[in-house]
Formats: sequence, C-alpha cells, structure tokens
Amino acid sequence: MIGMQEILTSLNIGLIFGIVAIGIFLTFRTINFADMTCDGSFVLGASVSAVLIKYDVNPYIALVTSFISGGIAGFCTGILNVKFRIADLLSGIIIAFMLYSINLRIMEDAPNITLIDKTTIFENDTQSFVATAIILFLILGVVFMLFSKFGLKLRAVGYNQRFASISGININFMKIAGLMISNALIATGGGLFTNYQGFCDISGGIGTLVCGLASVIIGERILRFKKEPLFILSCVIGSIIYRIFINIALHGDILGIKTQDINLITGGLIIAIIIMKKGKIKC
Amino acid sequence: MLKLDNICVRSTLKNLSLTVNTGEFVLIVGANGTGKTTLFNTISGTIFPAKGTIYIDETDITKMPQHKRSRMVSSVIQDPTVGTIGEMSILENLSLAHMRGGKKVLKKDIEYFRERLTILEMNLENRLEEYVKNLSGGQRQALSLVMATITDYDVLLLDEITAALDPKTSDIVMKIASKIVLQENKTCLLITHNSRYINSHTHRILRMIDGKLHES
Repeated sequence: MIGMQEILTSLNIGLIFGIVAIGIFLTFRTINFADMTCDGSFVLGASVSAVLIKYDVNPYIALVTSFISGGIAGFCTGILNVKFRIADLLSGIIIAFMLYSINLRIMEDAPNITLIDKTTIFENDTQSFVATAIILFLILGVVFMLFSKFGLKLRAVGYNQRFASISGININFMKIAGLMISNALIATGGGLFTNYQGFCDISGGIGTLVCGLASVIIGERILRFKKEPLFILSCVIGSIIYRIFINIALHGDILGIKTQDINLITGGLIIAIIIMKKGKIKC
Repeated sequence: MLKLDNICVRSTLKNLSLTVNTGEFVLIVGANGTGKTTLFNTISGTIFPAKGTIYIDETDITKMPQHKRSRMVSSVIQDPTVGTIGEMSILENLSLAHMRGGKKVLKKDIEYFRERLTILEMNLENRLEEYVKNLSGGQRQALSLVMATITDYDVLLLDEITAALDPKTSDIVMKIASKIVLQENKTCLLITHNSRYINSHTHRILRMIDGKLHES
C-alpha cells in the first residue's frame, strides 16, 4: 500500500513542516497568541528563497534571508498587537493579507517560480543530509531556548500576563520576540520546502496554520513529556506522523481519496483529535 | 520611603497624598469600591495616575513601566492562582521571581530558595520540582509571599492576600506574612477587611473613605 519511497518522502516533508509546527507551537502554546501570520510568512520564506536561488545565490544564504524575512513579518504583527492594540487574530490576518501583495512583488509579479537547473539544498544525498542537520540544529536551538531564562519568561507570558508583569517581565518585548522567532522558523520551513520541491507558488501557504496545528495536536496527543520545552520534539514527531497519515490516505486506492480531499481530511482529523482530547482528563 | 503626592486616578482617587517611612507596616482598611486596590495598582504601575507623582526614596517612579518598577515594588495579589503559575514547578516560579532583580539563577541560588521556603514550614523546600497547581490555595499564597520577598525590594504591597482562603488557612498565611515582614524590616502596605489582623506589629492604620485616606 505504501512503499519505502513514500515513507522517506513523508519523513523529509514531515521534518520540514516540523519546523513550521514548532513555530506555531511557539505562538499558539508558548506565548498564547493566536497568530495567523503563518500563512503569509510561509510563502514569504518560500518566495525569498526561490527568487534568490533563481539568481544563483547560494541556497544557504537564501535560507538565512528567508529566516530574517520571516522575523520581520512577525515583528510587524507584534507591533500591530502591542503598540496599536489590534487584537492578536486580526493583526496576524492583516499582515498575512498584506504579505500576499509583497510576496507577488518578491516573485517579480509571477504567481510561481520553478527552479530547474538551479543549485538547491536538496541537490544530492550529502546535501539533503546537510538539510536534515540544519533542521535538527533549529529544533535543538528552540529546545535550548525554551530551557533558558529567556524561555522561562516567554512561557510565563503565555501562562499568566498579570503575573509576568508584576514579576518584572516586559510583556510587549516578549510577545514581539516570540512572534519573530515563530515566523522566522515558519519562513525557514517555507524556504526549505521550496528547495525540496524546486518550486514556489503564491498560494502555497494556504493551510499552513491548519497543517501545523494538526501536527502540534497529534504530537501532544502521542508524546507527552514532563518538561514543557521537550514538547518541541512532539511537534516534529506529530508533523511526521501527520505526513505519513496523509500519504496513506492518498495512496489507499480503495478509499478513493483524491488530492483535493486533503483539506477535508485534515480538518476532520483535527476535530476528531480535539474531541478525543476533551473526553479524557487532562494530565 | 514611599511618597505619593496629590495622586488622582479617574474618579476613584482624589488628590491622595501618603508618606510611608522605611520599615513601617501600614494597614489600609475600607469598604469595597473605595479605591484600595486602585491605590495599589497605581503604586505597582498597573495603572498610571492622571495627576500627581510617586516617589520611592528620591526617585520619581510615576511614569516608570511596571516591569521596571517591579524591582522596587513587590506585590502579592488576592488570588493565588494569578499570583503564581500553576503549570510551572515551584523552582521555575521562584526562578522567575528571582530574575525580577535582574539576577541570573545559578546552582547556588537553589540552596537559597530552599532556605527561604523553610520559613513556611510546609515542606515545600523538598518539593521544588512539584507543579504549583498541585499545591493548595494556602500553600500557593504562602509561596507567592516568598516569591515577592525573594529579591531586594523597597516596598511590599499585600492586597487582601487572604481573601481567597478559608479562615484557618488565612491565619497561617497572615502569620507567615507578619513573620516575613518583621524579618525584612521594609516598607509594607497591607489591605485587609479583617480587623483580626490588626496587632502589635502594625504601625499605622489608615481608613480609605471615598478615595481619600484618613488616619484612625
């Protein structure tokens, strides 16, 4: 039903979207900020990488640029929320909406870019090993960050703002920092995905949030660590499982599921898991 | 020394002036809605006064944001579920409180945390990894007292710290509070509804009536 090749593909895409899931975990869980910027920042990262690679820039430098551009997007959302008091949902939606135009500009008015005959990170086996190393480095970096004093403050803001404020934590700064890191990671995921596919599309970001959230929820359900920073690992594993699940669904010819049914299945999956979660006593 | 000069906040506090000397333990009593908590929120920086100035020693802190002010003004709030983070361990809660002073938490500080927790006589010093949500309301409030006093501060604000507790636990928490206050010998303001807690340690009792303080 599902071959070795499919599992390997799921693993690769799962790892790439694992970074996206971590980004979503950082906003939705850690700082408790419903950030909708991700649909835009994912494509931002993808388009920045695509354009730079198109002009023969080193793909690693392109990836770093994607990372930075995502950070800027997160910063904008943070400023809207913190300085101008726009609700968290709305500020994310506004920035994602505006990013659509910006992304088209970055992609030189073309709705998609194909990277044929260009050097990408996934050119050959050794390089895809490097890509995996980059992903693992990012994952460990976030885990380390959450274990640090900075991470403790970040989590305190998410749990209890009143407490954070009387404990001398600059809530505004922490929120912006969290959003920047989150969106930088999501954009990096976008950049890596472009490298992997050799293709970038303006509408590639639709559903980033839902896929990421699905990974986070699956991960939390399957792997519950005692220490919260380790939940990052759950996100990545959740992402891989999610990809395998989607792959099985698509390859199960008996089920008669087509590619366009993915959104329906993913949505149903999320609803099912959330309902299951409510049935059990939280530990 | 804490000094408030002609403070006006919305229509709650009207030209309120107050001076509390270092080491003084002041009790503030008054009916609901007279502005006691507003006064505390103004001192701690949750809200900013429309008029007037606040000094700690010689420093004007009127416009200082709360996160900076928290180094000087330490507060314990009514609800222990808000004053501590249930999803974090005792150690993490104490670390957060300790960082308020801008200090790092090192290995040797954990010994210091243990030492501070022994004042409570609740055996919390041996349960540092325990999640705070597993503690009782009284234990959580006692913990937030320790957290408020773990770093250096100039003014301690205790806002009806026993309001969410039963009478017996209230007595225990108040006993711990006066023990800590006496030990520290710092400026302390306490809001209470309960005249039982007026004792020999109290230096001054102020009555809040309609946004103004009266000596009683």
